[in-house]
Amino acid sequence: MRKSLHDTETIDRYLLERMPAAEAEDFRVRMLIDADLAEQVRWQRRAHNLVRLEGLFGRLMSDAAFRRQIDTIFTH
Amino acid sequence: MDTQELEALYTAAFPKVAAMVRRYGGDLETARDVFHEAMLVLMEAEEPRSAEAYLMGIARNLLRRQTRQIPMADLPEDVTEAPVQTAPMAIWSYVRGRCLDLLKAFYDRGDTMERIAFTYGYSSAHSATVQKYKCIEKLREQLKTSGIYEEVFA
Repeated sequence: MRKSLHDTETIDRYLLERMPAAEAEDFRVRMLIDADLAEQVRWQRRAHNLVRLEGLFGRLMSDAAFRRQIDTIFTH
Repeated sequence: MDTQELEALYTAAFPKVAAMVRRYGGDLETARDVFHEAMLVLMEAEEPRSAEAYLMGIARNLLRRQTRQIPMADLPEDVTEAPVQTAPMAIWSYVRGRCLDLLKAFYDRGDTMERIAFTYGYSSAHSATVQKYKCIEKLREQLKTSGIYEEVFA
């Protein structure tokens, strides 16, 4: 994996809490002294949140009652 | 915000934001994008007293900002109170299609990488994992360059 993907993977493990406690502590310290890393973490967290929202939208819109409620808004 | 809280808030607030977007002349896709943008702000904010009211406020700001960018010549002459727009109001577009589907399988549904590799036709879980990181990187960069969030809420 190229370096940026490796960094992305490390950030993911931190955000998903799949990092051993000691490594997570080191990572938090790195974020304090590396503003770029802290910024990447912030945007990656936002990307995770957006994916959750997109997933939820898909699930809710496949529920007939919810879909009807929303369709009514856009057809009247 | 855990999954149950998120779903409860989504179910209660999305129809209200959708109705507001409709009044501004927007369609379902616009409603989804505006709502998700507002939710992203909320999910990073200190716990507001009323999440629903907070969301409505952000969504209204986004819509107002968006409609201000429409040249007056493009608006119908009979516009009175609410600005009306007939063209699609894409707030921003992000990685859709296969990449987003793969990301949803992992981050939303919690599928294993083995299952994802099988579903999306990758030769191994490792190949699917590399693709997943490429996709999340792409989405992250697209969110960064969208700029809307920072401009509206900075």
